[in-house]
Amino acid sequence: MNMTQLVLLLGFLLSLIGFWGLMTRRDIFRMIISFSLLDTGVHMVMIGIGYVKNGTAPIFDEALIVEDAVGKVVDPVPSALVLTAIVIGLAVTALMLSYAVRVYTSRKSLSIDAVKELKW
Amino acid sequence: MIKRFIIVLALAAIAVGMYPLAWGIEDAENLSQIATEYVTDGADDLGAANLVTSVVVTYRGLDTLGEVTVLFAATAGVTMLLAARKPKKPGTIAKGKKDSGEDHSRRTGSELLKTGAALLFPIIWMFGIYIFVHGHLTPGGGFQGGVVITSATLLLFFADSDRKMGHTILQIAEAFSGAAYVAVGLLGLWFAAGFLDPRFLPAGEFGQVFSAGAIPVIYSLIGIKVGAELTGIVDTMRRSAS
Amino acid sequence: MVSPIYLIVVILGAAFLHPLFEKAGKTASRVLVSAVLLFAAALPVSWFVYLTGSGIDAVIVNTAGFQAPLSINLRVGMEETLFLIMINTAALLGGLFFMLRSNPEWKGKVQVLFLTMLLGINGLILTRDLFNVFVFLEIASISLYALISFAKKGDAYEAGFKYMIAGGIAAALFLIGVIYIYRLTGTLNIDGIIAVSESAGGNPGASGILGGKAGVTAVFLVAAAMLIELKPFPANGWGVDAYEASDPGISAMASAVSATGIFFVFYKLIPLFSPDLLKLITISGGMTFFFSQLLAMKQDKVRRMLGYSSIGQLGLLILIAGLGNILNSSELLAGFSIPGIPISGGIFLLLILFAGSHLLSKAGLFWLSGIMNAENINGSGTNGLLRKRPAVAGLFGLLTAALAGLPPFPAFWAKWILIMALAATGNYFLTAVILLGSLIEAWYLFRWFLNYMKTEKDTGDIHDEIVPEDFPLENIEDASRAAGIPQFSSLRSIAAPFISALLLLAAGILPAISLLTANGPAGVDETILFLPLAALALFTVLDVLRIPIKLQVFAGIAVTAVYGAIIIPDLDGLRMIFGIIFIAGSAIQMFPLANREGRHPGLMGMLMAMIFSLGNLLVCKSSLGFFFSWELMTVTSFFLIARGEKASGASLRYLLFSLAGAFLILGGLAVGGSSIFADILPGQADTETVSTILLGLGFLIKMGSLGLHIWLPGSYAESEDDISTFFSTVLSKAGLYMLFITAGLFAAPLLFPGRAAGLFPQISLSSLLGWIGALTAFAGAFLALFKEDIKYTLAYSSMGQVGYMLLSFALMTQLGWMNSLYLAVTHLLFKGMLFVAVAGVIYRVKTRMMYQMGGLISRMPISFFTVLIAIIALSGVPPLTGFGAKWMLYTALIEKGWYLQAGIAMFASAIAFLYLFRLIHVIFLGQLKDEHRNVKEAPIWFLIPQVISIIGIMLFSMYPNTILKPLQNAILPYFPTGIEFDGYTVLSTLGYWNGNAVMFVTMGVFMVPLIWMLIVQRKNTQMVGQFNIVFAAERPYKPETTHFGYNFFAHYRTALGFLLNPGVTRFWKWTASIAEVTGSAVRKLYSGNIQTYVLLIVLYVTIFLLLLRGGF
Repeated sequence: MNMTQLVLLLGFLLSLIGFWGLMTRRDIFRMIISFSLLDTGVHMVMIGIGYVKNGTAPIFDEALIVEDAVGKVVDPVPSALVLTAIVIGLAVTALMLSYAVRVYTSRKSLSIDAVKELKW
Repeated sequence: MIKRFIIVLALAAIAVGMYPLAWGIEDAENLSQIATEYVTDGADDLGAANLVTSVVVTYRGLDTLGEVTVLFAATAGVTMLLAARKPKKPGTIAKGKKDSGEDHSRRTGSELLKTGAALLFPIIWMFGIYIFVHGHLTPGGGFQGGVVITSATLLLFFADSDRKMGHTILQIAEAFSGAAYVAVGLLGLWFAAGFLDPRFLPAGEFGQVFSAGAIPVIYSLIGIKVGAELTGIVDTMRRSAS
Repeated sequence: MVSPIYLIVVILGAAFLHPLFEKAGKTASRVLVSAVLLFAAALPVSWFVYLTGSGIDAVIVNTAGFQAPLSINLRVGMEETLFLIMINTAALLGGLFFMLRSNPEWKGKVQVLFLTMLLGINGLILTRDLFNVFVFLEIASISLYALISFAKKGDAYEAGFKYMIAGGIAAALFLIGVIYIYRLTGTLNIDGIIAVSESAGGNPGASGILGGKAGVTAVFLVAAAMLIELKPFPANGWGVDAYEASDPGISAMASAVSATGIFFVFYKLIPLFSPDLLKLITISGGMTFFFSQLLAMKQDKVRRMLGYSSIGQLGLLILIAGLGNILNSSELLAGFSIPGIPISGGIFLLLILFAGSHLLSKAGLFWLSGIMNAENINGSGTNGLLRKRPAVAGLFGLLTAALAGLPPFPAFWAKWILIMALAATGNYFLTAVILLGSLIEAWYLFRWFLNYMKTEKDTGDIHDEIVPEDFPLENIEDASRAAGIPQFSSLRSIAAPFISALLLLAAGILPAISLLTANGPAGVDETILFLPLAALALFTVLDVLRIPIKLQVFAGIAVTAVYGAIIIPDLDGLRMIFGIIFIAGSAIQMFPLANREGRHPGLMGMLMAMIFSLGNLLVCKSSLGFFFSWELMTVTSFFLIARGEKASGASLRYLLFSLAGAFLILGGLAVGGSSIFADILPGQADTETVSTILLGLGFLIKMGSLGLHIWLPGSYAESEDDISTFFSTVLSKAGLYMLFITAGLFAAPLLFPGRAAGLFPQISLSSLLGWIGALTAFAGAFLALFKEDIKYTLAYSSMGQVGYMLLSFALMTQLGWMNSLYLAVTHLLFKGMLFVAVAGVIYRVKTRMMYQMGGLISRMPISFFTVLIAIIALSGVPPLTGFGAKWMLYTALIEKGWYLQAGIAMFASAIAFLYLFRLIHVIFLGQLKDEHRNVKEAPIWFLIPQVISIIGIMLFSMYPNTILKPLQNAILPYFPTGIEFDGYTVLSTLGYWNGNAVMFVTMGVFMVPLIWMLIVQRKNTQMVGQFNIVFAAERPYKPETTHFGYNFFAHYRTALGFLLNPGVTRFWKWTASIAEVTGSAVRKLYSGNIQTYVLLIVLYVTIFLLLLRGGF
């Protein structure tokens, strides 16, 4: 097993736990945490994809000069993407938590069983 | 019981479905083509030492503008949700809770926390500013800086949950930094090669704070905006509970 | 100059600066938002002008000063521009709706989120970068998530939370897909990915870079994420929740702006998808479309129903997109263009028609539901009130019709092209699914409409006569709530749906121009087919100007006469006969309408449109022209029936059956392919039996043939009294006309060709038609027999008469055809007389129950005389026209050897005589009712058509040749050898008929006893006064049961009553219940629990993924 596969497997495992939590936990906050796990797993997968064998962070300094950087750095694109994805995940989580607060004030419960008035 | 079985089945199906994504992938030997171009030309093009920053702020600058917008929308959403008028009888909420017997009001922070927070607040602020100002040189940037700044405010709230916030300043900072970000993008469109092109400012000397064109400017604006927005979210959430 | 950057910059800048404007005041922020929305709608229009003017395909704009794969680029092509125009216009109208509405107030964060959502969707449409799609998707989604909470109620919070979970999963799947696509192709640029995957292996996905397991999975995940955003069946419960719980203005935007924009991204990504994936997408789209309609049908909340409808419509778009490559090969689609749009052919035009039509109509209905405070589908509390708001009601009807895809709206044209293209490429199953789904959709949409339109007295399920159980003790009028105007919330915001309705009308005309005028693919100029719409518009203007109804009626008669004078002379024989029936018949029967007082908004407009579309059936040259006129006739007649006081149930059933008929015809046209307007002569076989059967069923539904008739009695009887006559005498013959025109199809082919031919050697379609005709004639007469309600008697009678026409037609002999046409003409006269006379009677006596009438001969002698003449003409006794008809019918039947059918027809005639006898006896003879002692003769307007018809009947009876000769000439092309005439005598192999002689002999037979009675037996004859017979002291508890006219034929009912068992009605109810049960069963999936929905999403994704990969 190589480095990429390890990260990918862990990432997918985390996502799977997230899915499991989303489908089985009755508490809204636990569901939100499960969602964060799912999201984080995906971010790990993204990072894993960007890994290049024996690569380092793509920041130039004395140790890493432009001329021979190719082959020494990991792919900067997934890093950039994951940065964006994390922030978006944060925004989504914040909004979800606000919804949880509102659901609680209107239904007086944090159980997902109280949140199925709309159906059929 | 059947439901549980189906859930297990579904999880297994995910695992099977994702299996080729996890197993078939080897460590990459080479960079992708655009990554190679970024690595070889990025520093010359933009003059930023942190290549991820170049990608985030410039090459994929539209993503980042979008990202700021996402955060902005989320802040607006949180405000709309939580700043809604309170239910008329606040007592009804407490009744529904299991632990209604307990004192619902929050404790104020201990003396230690208060003093520590007051002491750390400016330092954390400074650190946050440092992070976004040096985003093009070191790992870091506007988001990270903004989050660090927010953590300082959060610390203050921990120490004193009833602390007043200057909303007008927050709003102006948020609106101004956002509009300025868009304006900087337009300057790139008018005075350089395209929207969000930072090269309308001189590239400067590689590795210095004042270099890489407008990248530090953009990152600073992002830092202010993210800081203001996250602080706004934290503040709204705090007030909605009290 | 095209500058998509400014679109983003302006919206975003305004959103960022909004808090500062808010500080300056409410007006400032409103002005800001309105200005931005206006700009966003106007800018793409300028691009449109630029792109059409310069002929440039697309403008690509790079950002950050670097070329595309390095940076993110935006594309402005015609596709993007058109979608942006549509979406931003909808957003502008949405802003207008909010701004004009007073509660809840349009201010604060909701404005900001509205702008960011619009920004997200605009970015989605413009960007060509896969990850950038994700970013803009999240902007749009998060804004929408937050906007759901604008309704500020528990349900909205619940819906928002569920929506977020589902959206979050979709986003996660999308990210995984994107990052692997980047890994495999080395780029995030969509064009780059397409280029790389194609260059490496021809077909994307089949082989090449994205063809491995990882590649297939990655592309699938991207597609699946987009599909989940578009809410596929069954993984879409959270979507309908959001539509239901949100503020109506937000629901409108979610459907019009958000969903349409996301669909465009999906469309943009299609080149990435492999044929296998596209197949799955098509299946998913089809399932979504069909099941959403089924589920919508079961809803009782208005916005939830509209939500399902939205999802269904998107399913249709997905289906079309998935079938793109197949559909593009169809000839019709390749030649299709919309004037002013420089894209010709291809599914894109289809998509834009469907998407645009849906966007405007759905948003309009969501807005309207908010304005009308419509929560429940049954509209309790609004009953009848909407009728007092004709403008709102009209708008409601327009938007509903547009959404249901009725002409002249864009979806109608799109549906035509889609069905034709599907059938041309052999996708018969999908054709059936789409038509069935559309039918269900029209059903539930119009059910909603009618529930809101119906009056207080209307229970909504009246399909047959209702005999009052007892003497009405209470006056029903008192019970009706007199509350004046319905409670609308902020009527001002109706501007938004109003503008969308106008835009829909305009958008409907464009494709029509391309399809029906000389510029279209067929090259046939059929501009005249727009005449009904022009008439509708003109008379609507007259309504708005409050022109009195009398003037409108006269104008209508004049216009109809001019129209007839222009088109009839140019028609060939057969068409001319029907032209006279349709147009002259209608013009004459419009006189009674002049008796009306007050305002009747929409009445004349709809009537004129109906008459013109009926007339246009005669002049249309292409299949589309025919279908357009046919559907227009259906729609306009539906709205006319719906005007009836208790007609909501009947008119819904009418619409359902008429549309089903129209869809069968559409299917027949699509399968048959060849034009049906070639006047195929009898004997010329056409091979497409399926097509013929579909067409035939469609026509038979219109004629109300037995088994397909259950819509007929209610529609004829419950429509307004002076309107019913049009349906019975004119409209019912549209089906007959089409049978004549397409007769060649029915003449030859066996019902069971091929292998089974040995078993059923003799069954040609025409003989089947003959049997249907005979049985219809029998059933119509029989059902008419037992009705107490005079209009139901007449309705069933009409059904029976049309049965005779069908029977005669089916003979496919010269005499048969002549008789069929002869019946058609004379039926117009005598049934018109009956309906108008009866309308006059009802107008005077205010009841439709025959047993409540009686002795009216002294009060209404002219009406009596009319009815007398009419029933003599109808029943077939000498000397009037009916006798000639019967003579020809029996002669022709016996010549053909159809003895059994002749027997049935004879029996039916006898029954017809019974109910006619009852009709005249109970109404005009016997005791005059006390309360009718002062009734007057029917108003002059009712008498005019009666007198004209009497003259016609008399003329044709005395001189049959005046009509028989023209009829013979009309069918000369089909049957060249003439019937022998000898003076006034018609000769056949079995005998002869001299109308003149019959008349004189009968007159003599009648006159002699009369004279004998009046002169010789003068002393023994006396007039019987009303109180000659008296009741015993008491007033009976149930007076009607003591009236001699009540249950007049009780003895026959005892003998033959078993035939009355409504087996046909039961069959159709059973059919409907299948749909209901299926809908209920499927509904169980929507448990309301988000965890179930997550599970459904996971199952949906994984099952499709494993199907796509063909295993593990």
